[in-house]
Amino acid sequence: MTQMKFTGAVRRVATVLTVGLLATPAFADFPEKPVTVLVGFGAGGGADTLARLIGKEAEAALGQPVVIENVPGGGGVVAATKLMNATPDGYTIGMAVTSTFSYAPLASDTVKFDADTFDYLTSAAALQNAVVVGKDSPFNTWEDVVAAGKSGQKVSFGSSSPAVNLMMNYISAHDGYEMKVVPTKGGAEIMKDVMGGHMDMGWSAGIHQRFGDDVKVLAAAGNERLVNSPDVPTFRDLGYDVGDDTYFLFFAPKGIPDEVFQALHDAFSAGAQKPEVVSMVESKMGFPSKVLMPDQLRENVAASTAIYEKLIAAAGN
Amino acid sequence: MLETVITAFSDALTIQTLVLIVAGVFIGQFFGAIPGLSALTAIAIAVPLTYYFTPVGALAFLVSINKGGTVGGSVSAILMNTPGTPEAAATAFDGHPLAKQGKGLKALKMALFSSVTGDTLSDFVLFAVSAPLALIAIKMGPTEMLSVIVFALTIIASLVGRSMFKGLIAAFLGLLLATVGLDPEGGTSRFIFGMPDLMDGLPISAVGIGVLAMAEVLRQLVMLRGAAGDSHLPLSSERPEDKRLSWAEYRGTLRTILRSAAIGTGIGALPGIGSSAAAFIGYNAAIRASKDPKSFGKGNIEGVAATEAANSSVVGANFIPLLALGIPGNVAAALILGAFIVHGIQPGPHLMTEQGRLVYAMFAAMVIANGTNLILGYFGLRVFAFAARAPAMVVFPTIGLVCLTGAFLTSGTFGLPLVVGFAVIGYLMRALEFSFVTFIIGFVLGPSFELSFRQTVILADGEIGYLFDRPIALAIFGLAAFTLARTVWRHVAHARKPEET
Repeated sequence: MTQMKFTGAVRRVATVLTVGLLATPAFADFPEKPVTVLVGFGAGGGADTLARLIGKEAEAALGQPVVIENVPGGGGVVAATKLMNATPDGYTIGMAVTSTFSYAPLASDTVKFDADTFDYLTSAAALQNAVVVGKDSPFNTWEDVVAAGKSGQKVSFGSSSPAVNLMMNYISAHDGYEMKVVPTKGGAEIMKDVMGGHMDMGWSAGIHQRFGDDVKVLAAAGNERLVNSPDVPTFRDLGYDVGDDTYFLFFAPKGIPDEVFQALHDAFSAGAQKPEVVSMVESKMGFPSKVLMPDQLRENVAASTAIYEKLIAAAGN
Repeated sequence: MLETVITAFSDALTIQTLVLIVAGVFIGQFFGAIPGLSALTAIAIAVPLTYYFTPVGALAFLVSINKGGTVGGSVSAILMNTPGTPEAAATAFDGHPLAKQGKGLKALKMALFSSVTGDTLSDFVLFAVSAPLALIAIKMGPTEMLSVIVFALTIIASLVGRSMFKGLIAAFLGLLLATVGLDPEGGTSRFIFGMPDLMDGLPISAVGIGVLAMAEVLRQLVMLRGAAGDSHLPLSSERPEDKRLSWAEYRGTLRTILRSAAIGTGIGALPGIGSSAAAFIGYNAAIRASKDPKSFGKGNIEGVAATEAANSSVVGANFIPLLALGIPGNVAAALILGAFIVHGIQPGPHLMTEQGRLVYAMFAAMVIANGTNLILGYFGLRVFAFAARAPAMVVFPTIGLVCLTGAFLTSGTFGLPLVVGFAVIGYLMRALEFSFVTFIIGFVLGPSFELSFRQTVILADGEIGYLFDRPIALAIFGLAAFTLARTVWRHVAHARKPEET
């Protein structure tokens, strides 16, 4: 009997202790296990490099390993879809770009999330979206392109995605001419095609900076001017009502406890601002390091969504 | 000049770099040899590790993995008839019959020597004339690429097998499956059935593993039913000349190796065609040039040499557009480009003037890696050959498991049902004598074909004159038409007087 009573006492004490432990906020111990980052792009690319650099710093801050998992596909859509159904406990977060949340949900019924499905932790860097031509191109300014278009020449434009197609078609329609917007695999292929004279112009998300004087920049596609080409006007400067700022950003499913979210934000945002990371991002990768707060990122995604809603409406589909 | 060479080698001959080269070659050979894995998988995993190496060490490591993979890929193709990637598919055509005749080691050695020879030759082309070759690459716009892909398809069309009709059905099935995913122009979903995983198309690794390796495993397992579990391969016949590869034999295939190396280098210098097409074209060219074309497919060692020299020489040549223009020729080169940039190296026209010393050190590392590839490969062959002596009822289930593991590593859980599904398709194709080669080529070249075709249509904008302004493209289209006409004519002639084969 005493034995049983004793056991009972132990159980009660144990229960109290357990309840006590449970009552202490769980986040106090966050993270208790590794944090996984689902990167929406393949290993070795810009997004992957950024995620790994910043993940390394966050690891030190969190005291737990940060595991980078590449889930490429659909410009970040596959990773976001996976994360949409993940438990919002802070142990699984993601990394993608602004257009993953703004353009992709508008463009396809397959995309089951939208801008409000997620919370945004912090950004890592800003893309440098621009329109470029080869160094031998007759075009030296955007006005030259407009003049050529209005004179009836159908200029060709190497595009990296359907989102870019929308923007360029909107801009040419604004001035009342048509362009030949050519789909490509993006990036370096566009640089090859403009340098080789196969296409009159092309889109760059920042890769043109690697080609120095072999390409000329005609316009910046964001709301701010390009860091390395401050004399080149933005499309807004030129009088078009478009401008899309794209960031590499970390995101998380909605419903993460505030304290956990804060801990993640602190770790990743501080990581993105570390001098080593900043110097790597700016001097070697060629992207300006821009670390935005969650609210600013929400605004960025909302502004981008508004732009694409307008572009899609203008395109008539 | 001599001073540059000495500096380059002294930069590359540090302990760290040498260890990294040996480790890289070993990892590449290992990943390449295992069906389901590939050097590409290894490079993708390794890139982030290299952020913490010295620049020379990082590049040497990645390049070594890439080179090791070209040697490793032939092993499972020859010994088990289970090529892990499309680029080694043609290695199995003659390599596996040789293994069945007890000449497995001979075939493996030929694969190793021709692979390293092809790789070394294309490296020398890279060192010597990368800048002028890169200028040719830049002249190749969408229309020119379309003509090259069409030409490649017509050359490969002669590999359709006995029935041209069935071969074409298989090729078009491959092209059809290549359309899965988001349409490149408008971003419209095609055949994705609401699955975001399919947005970028069926993963090529899963399709390749399924149709090429896993399907063969299935076929072997079906054949094993009721059979005694004896060793699958009479690997080494007792005659020593079946194990050795004599100098005379190597020299006898030198013409083939050189031809394939030239083909592989040419294709590698153009971004976007790839080593699979190079391998099939090299194999096909060897048949065309041979005095005894009928012996191919039954264990002609030249077939092994032709394929391996061609697919390996793509590796060095892929660096031509990468170093000279900053444009990666394939996925592996794109990953290595990422490592370049993290180490503050900007590939492109100014690379030599700004980073000359580093580039020369990388060239030196490439030469050392080629030698390491040869030595490690030579000893590694015996280990792999030994593993293949295990009873078939052990070997094939193991390969099956490894294939699934590889698919899981590259495509996650999504890849597993795909591998199994494509294994069944591949098995049925083998059973019904549909060419899985034309299927896989259709699948591999499909996306590039579609993209360059649509680019050409948009650029031409309905004006036929657009084509006449492009003499390079027109000339290649002409060659393609000629090849196609000749292939069709041969098949028709062949059908009129059936032979005993």
